[in-house]
Amino acid sequence: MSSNFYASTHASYWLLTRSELQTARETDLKYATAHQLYCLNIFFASLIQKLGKRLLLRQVPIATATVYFRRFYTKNAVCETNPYLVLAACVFVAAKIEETPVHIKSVVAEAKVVFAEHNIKMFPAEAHKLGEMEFYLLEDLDFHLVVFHPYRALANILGREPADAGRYPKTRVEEDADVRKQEAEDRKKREDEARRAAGPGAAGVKALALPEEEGESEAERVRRLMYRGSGEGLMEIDEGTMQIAWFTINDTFRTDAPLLYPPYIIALAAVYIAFTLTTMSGASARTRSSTQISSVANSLETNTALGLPPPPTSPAEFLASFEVSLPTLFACVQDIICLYPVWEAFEPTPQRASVNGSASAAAAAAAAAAGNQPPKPAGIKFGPEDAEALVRRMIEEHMVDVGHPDNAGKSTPEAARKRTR
Amino acid sequence: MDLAALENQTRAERWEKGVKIGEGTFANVYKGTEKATGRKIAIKKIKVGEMKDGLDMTALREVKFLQELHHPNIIGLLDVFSVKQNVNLVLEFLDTDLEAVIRDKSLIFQPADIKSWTAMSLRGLEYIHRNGVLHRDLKPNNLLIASTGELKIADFGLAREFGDAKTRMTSQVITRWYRPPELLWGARYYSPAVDMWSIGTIVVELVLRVPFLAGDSDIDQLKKTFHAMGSPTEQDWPGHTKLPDYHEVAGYPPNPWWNLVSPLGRDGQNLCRELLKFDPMARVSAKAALHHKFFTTGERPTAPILLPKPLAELRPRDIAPQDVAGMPDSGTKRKNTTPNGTEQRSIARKLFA
Ligand SMILES: Nc1ncnc2c1ncn2[C@@H]1O[C@H](COP(=O)(O)OP(=O)(O)OP(=O)(O)O)[C@@H](O)[C@H]1O
Ligand SMILES: [Mg+2]
Repeated sequence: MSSNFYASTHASYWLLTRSELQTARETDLKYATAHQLYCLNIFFASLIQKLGKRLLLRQVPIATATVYFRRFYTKNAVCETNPYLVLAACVFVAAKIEETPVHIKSVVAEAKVVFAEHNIKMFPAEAHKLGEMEFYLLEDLDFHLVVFHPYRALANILGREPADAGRYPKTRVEEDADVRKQEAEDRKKREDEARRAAGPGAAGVKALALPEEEGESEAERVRRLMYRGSGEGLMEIDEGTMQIAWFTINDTFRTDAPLLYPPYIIALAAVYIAFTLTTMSGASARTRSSTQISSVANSLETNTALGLPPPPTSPAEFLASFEVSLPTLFACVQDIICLYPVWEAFEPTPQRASVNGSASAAAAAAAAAAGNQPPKPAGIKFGPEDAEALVRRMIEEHMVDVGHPDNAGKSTPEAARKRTR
Repeated sequence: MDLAALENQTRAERWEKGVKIGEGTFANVYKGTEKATGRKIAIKKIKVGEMKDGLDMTALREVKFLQELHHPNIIGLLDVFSVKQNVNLVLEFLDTDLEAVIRDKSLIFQPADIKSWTAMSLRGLEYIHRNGVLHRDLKPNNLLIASTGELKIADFGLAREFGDAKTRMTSQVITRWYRPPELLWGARYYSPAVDMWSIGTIVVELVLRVPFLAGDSDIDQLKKTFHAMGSPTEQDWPGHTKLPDYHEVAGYPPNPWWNLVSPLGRDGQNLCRELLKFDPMARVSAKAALHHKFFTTGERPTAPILLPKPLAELRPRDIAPQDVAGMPDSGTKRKNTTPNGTEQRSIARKLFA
């Protein structure tokens, strides 16, 4: 499912508007503040990440599980459900959908361990309950199971992968490396032959007798690479920037971004954030080496020679070349960088360093430098322990409300839902 | 009942369930109608049993892919709903399948008919591959035929994405008779070419009216394949001796097997040879196959509505032993327990439902 995002259930049904999200949260907002709910989502995403890691799942199934979880809570309220059972079910289904299935009993066993670490006692440790929850989850996902992630979009944008997966057996970078290797081998063979023809002792002279470079010229190389895609990958991006963009994408699963934006917008936003960081901070400026700058200059000349549009020379141009709506892109950037100060207050860095490394901290610096002012907590400290307590309190309070005499005879969530309208 | 369950019930009520018409490994199939229009549909009810180990991978894959793939030559999924913890897929109703057509000896096929079925299969498959998906279970029985004569690829229970060329996959896929030699030798990294081989064997079967390569074990399958087509040489297929389960099946001399499909003419023979190349890298892609001369020269493909079709309606068949061979190795077979309809929800999706 790599090339038809626009025809997908993801694009058709699961890109929501901000006001739809707001409406979906009405019930929970009676029992918690917007800031607390935001923190709860960070909390749940971290639990999904931990559970996934314990089950040896890779990043993609973990990401899928997190998106399932968020989709589920556009139709349900935390206070009406058991979020720990829901998140375990999300991990269970995502593992299967991403073709790395884990046994239901392993999910239960590992979930028990993860939840115990957080003093969570609500999780029913029985496989059949998880099996039932799986079913309700699928129902509320409308049986739409394919989730498109920004990781692949990032690889496409950076030219690390063929624009159309499966169309080419190798990525652009791999193909290029192979062609170069082949050329080097051919050259060596020709040299050897020339040497042999000239007889022993003549090795030093012979190289000169070789015809000028028969291999692919730089111009041909560019043309070959451009032919494969739109040429957008030609702006080389250093590993550091790529890494930061990747980590930033990991972080977006703690925000509403996966429910609001298509994956390539999120990927571009992550690249934008990475660029901002590498050009801003003195440390990472080093990574934009002079060779890189000259290689950009070179391909510019080549492009002119080939009559092709010049490759982008600056991050701004690079982003602009994707022809996306800039307001949307910046709204997405905003949604992502809002996360960092809140996250930092919720789970201070040393604690989450194990999850994500330094990228988040760095991105937090970017957010600060961008002069962004996210919704500030009301001065009270709110951490994971408080999150666990809040979940219990929300459920209890909601239960009292539902059981209230005013609701006699209609003590169903349905009734509860109606009352909030 | 909560809101989501209500919504679901409203959906379920759009469809009228009729008599049982078939049984597969993980599902019972019922005839049905869309109440509003009277249109015939099929309801595939997934056997869930006690939900002890969770939903079967096969069923999940089918739902996953059919929700995303929309093409005239792929079976249409009209709806998914659940009743008492059973997942029901509402599918367009299809009168018969290519296997039943092939076996009906009262039908006579013209080369133009075969051309038409082949083209429709390739169109559906090209779309599947273009979307980064491998089908991994192509066989006449999974190519269903609509009342209009249109062919529709069905059964996505073994399908999976192949986006990342570095992913290791199980070689235990595709029903044996339609399985390419690289999988028989245990290849773990493979490509859409595996489906192309299946199409090749199906085209030959359309001419022969019996399965082309009907091995009775995996080893026998390789023997039958090479007996018919000659053992591969390093030149035909560079590197094949390095496959994980490689064992020598040498000594079968080259054989002009394409004479078997001479009714298809030179172009048809050539297409079969392209589809049944031993070397998966050399095997033709679905897209390229659609551009093959076979489809543009000579007689035009028969219009779907004019294609030969059995008079009798599709009847449930027993599951042939080879149908089970294609199950993935991870797939612990679900016990065939009848779902208990009276069972209550022991936990609610919501805490107070
Ligand atoms: N859309 C449909 N329209 C009409 N009949 C159908 C339809 N889908 C399936 N059937 C009938 O139901 C039977 C069972 O179908 P199903 O796809 O579950 O299993 P199968 O493909 O026969 O077996 P397996 O699950 O082992 O692959 C089919 O053989 C066919 O007779
Ligand atoms: Mg089948």
